[in-house]
Amino acid sequence: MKRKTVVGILVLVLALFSLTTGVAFGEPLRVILVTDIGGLGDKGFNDGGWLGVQMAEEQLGVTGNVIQSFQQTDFIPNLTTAARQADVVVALGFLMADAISEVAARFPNVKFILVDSVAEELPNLASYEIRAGQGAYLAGIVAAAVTETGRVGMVEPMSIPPVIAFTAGYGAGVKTWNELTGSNVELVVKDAGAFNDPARGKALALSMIGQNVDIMMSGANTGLGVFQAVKEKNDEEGITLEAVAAGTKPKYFGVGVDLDQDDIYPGMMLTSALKNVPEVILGAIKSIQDGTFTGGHHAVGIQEDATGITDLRHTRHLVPDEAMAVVEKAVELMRAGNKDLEIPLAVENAEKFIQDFKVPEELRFVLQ
Amino acid sequence: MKITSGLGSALIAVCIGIGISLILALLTGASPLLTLKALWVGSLGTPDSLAVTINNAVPLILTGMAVLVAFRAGLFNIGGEGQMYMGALGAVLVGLYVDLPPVLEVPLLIAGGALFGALLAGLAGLLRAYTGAHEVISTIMMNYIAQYFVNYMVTKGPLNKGSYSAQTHPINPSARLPVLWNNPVSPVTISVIIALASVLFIHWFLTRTKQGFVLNTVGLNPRMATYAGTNIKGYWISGMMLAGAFAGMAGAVMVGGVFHKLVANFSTGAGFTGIAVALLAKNQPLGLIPAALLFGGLNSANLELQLSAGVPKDVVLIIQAVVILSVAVQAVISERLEKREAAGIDRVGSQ
Repeated sequence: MKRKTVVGILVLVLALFSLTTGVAFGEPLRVILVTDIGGLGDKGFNDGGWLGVQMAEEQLGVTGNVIQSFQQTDFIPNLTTAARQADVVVALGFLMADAISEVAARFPNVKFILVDSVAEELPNLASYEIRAGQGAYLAGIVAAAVTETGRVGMVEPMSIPPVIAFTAGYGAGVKTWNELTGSNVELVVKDAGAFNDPARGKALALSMIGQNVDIMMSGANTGLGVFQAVKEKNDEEGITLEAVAAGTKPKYFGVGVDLDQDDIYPGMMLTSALKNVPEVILGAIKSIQDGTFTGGHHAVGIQEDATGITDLRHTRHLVPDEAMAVVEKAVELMRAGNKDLEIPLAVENAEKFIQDFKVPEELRFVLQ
Repeated sequence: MKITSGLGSALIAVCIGIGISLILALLTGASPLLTLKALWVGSLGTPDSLAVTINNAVPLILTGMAVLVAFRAGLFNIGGEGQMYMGALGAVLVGLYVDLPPVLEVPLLIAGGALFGALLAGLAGLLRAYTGAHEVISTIMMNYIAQYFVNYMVTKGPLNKGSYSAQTHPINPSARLPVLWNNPVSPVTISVIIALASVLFIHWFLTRTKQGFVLNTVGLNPRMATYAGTNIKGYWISGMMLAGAFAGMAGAVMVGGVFHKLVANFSTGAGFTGIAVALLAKNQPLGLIPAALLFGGLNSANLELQLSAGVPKDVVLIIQAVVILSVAVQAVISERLEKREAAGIDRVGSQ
């Protein structure tokens, strides 16, 4: 009888120990990233994910590892193996959404992080979507301040609500600049109909330039065609990359999306509206370490350092200081949780959104 | 006896390939011992990895068959990938819109896949027979047509389930392939039986039936077949359709057994790997099984190689290619030796 109690207590103690994670003993969290088929070296989300895990290794002392998937049938085996060996499993993109939901349901003691997509509601699975429209808003202010023709453009790779949200934020930024300065910059929008069609992007960009547009935002592979058109048109004007590096102002600009694309054509890319995947992952891992992790769907924006624009390292001298002051104030308002500047994750109709958008009163004082 | 000695020398080739791979692993900073262990543990060494290996091999057996059958009719079917995409489309249509008890629905799903694959491949056969358009060109081009047509159907087309995801709704539960071994990582379904039955059927068909014999003749010597009164155009078309049916079934088992829906870009080259599988099998149906298991096992080992041995993905791909290359080289060398031996015997006999 007594022995049974002792055994019982031992079991209880062991059970309690196993409930608390390894962190309690000072053992580092084990984090494994499972990439989709793109794998490392895609200069996109997968690389961003790995950077986030590496940042967590440095700053939070976790141990990180990566499994790269070869084919879609690998997703579930890879996630399962990761879940068996790690405390935290990280994945990116909508391709992984179903697979991570399925695996997370089987491993309630492991935490799962999915970035840039929505997964099922589970207590151990957190999905993060990035309000990139906020970054696009800031880019819109900068573009409207720099344009000389008074027309800025957006080539939507595909007109679906998450992409239209970029247009909406961008247009709201243009509207803000117009109202603050009394200028009349117009936004021209075109739909390329495919994420992976640089030729179509280029054709649309050339036709936009024909319509007197001088700054064009675009994204994905299609965007690369848009930026190529920008460079070629500048070249035609005798403004080469060397000339730009020597101080000539380009006639046409591109605005990048998702990643820092400023270095594609240095000086000809005005800025980029970012999705800061590494920061989102770092934040999520941190929340697991300090016990504030919650499962379910999260929308993250500038408040969480999840979006923004680049440091304008090649183009800062072209942007009026007034515009930078407005951008700074807008970032401040977004950080404070201003509701008007909380650009939604998905927008159905950009035109209507921009029409209904109210420029925050606080911004009006910046230029006075 | 011959088959066993063939297998034996293939095994030696696998060992040589692995040996070279270990040197490669060493050069890239990974431990050869851990690499070797990861190759074993990751492909066959645990129940989970065995299940993944089997599930990797099943579509490869079927796409390998699609190459083999066409090759027997003297045609190069490079269109396995496209036929697999069409097969997946046929299968998902059954899975989404037909509601029958599983006993009827599962065979119908497989048949739907086979039909769509057969129709696409048959078109290439038809073009070859009546316009002379070379099937290598037409099947390669049809790969693009099929893959992007299917992608369109599930992204912007009528089969898209909405919410910006490039996939269809899940198929009816009754259309799912019954599970034989409920492995938690990768459940093994009756797709294994379908693949093995296909191999046995084609083995029997090619060696024991009149049509199989004629098909071989058409491939080996079309002029003689014509002279003997064979309708070789008919055999080209039906041979391609039979080949396409197997690739279509590969797509169907992916939909019915793995994804339970159709996802855009669901295959990244299983149709093309089928060409290598068929070559490695020396176009013998029974040879498809070990050849597909080799490819499937190496693919499955990628996980352990990355995690336990720290071999990066690119080096994993190189290791796979080295092992397969050494097996292929062995196959060619042993064939040459056999021929030389046969020639020697002839000379002895004539003296």
